Amino acid sequence: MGGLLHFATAGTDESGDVVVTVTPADNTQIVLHTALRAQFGEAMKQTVGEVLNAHHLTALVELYDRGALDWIIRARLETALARAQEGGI
Amino acid sequence: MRRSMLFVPGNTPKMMTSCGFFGADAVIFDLEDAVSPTEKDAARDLVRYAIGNLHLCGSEVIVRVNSIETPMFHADLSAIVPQDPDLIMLPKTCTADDIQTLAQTLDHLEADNDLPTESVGIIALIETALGVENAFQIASASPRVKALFLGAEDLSADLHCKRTKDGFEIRYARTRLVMAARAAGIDVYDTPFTDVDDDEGLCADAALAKSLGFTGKASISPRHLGNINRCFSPTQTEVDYANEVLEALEEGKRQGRGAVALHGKMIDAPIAARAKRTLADAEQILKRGGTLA
Repeated sequence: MGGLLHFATAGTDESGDVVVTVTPADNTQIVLHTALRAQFGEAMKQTVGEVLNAHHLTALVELYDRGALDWIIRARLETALARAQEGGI
Repeated sequence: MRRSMLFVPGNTPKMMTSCGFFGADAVIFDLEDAVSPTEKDAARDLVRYAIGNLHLCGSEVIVRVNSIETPMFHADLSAIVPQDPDLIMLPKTCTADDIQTLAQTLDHLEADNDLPTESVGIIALIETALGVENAFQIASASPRVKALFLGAEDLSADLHCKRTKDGFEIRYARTRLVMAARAAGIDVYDTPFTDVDDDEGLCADAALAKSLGFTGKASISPRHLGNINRCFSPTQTEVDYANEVLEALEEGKRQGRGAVALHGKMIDAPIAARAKRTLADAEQILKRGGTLA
């Protein structure tokens, strides 16, 4: 597993979307900001873990959720990770 | 047959999750003009996931990628083609070479991703004067090209003229594209009507396009889809007449007659061909769960 080069973010705070921030960290930590923690919190964490594992990365990941579906979380996280490995935002 | 095609900005999760429920025959996920330059990467990721995860209720998937001269062109295709979209829309198609470049890239990506050869088609978006002048060469540049599509906003800018509601300035381009597409044996789609609240104007614009020979029309608003679908669908009366035509031809054949008349009018080859096309269109629409006009 490797670390990120930069802090980066992706997504918007519009309904149905999610803002994902990723920060370089030696161990993975996932922080959820969502009104749906009780219903979907574990599923969201699992999704984030799967994407990080697929990319062999560790990071501090924060989700500011506005009701995003699973595939939207995956897409936004992948964008944030790619940005973090380039110049960051 | 696509009567309607709905543009959906590629970086808008809310619009993307609902776009399959409005009755569009195809949705166009847009990575080009509807996405800001700083969000191209995010839209590309979002559309890539959307294709595999969205329920689109039978709508075809078209992705408008960024044009050939941009650095995003290859990145867009590399991300999108493995998801096996129905069609790639190529903006600012100006020459047959543009189509060849896209077709060769698709060849490689299909092979690399174990997709059947030529599984991904092309819609050529014609929106420059040069593209209009080269329309037939573009339409016949590759068997992947399934349709031409007129983009009137960029074209009118290229022509140094104002875009108007009656569309006088694009009349030549419309007829030229219909001629080129039909000569090549492919479909042709009309530019969107951009005044979202003007239903009367939309219906007149769509009716004009249909009268010129367009297959269908694109839309930037779900509100327009019902009117567009109605305009480009055969009516029940047309379907009934088409059935009568084919029955009369069959009856004539049984009786060994060379010429056949229906309601006092000779049925010639073009009438028979139109009747078959009407029935084929109606069958496709009904099979998809749609309704006749």
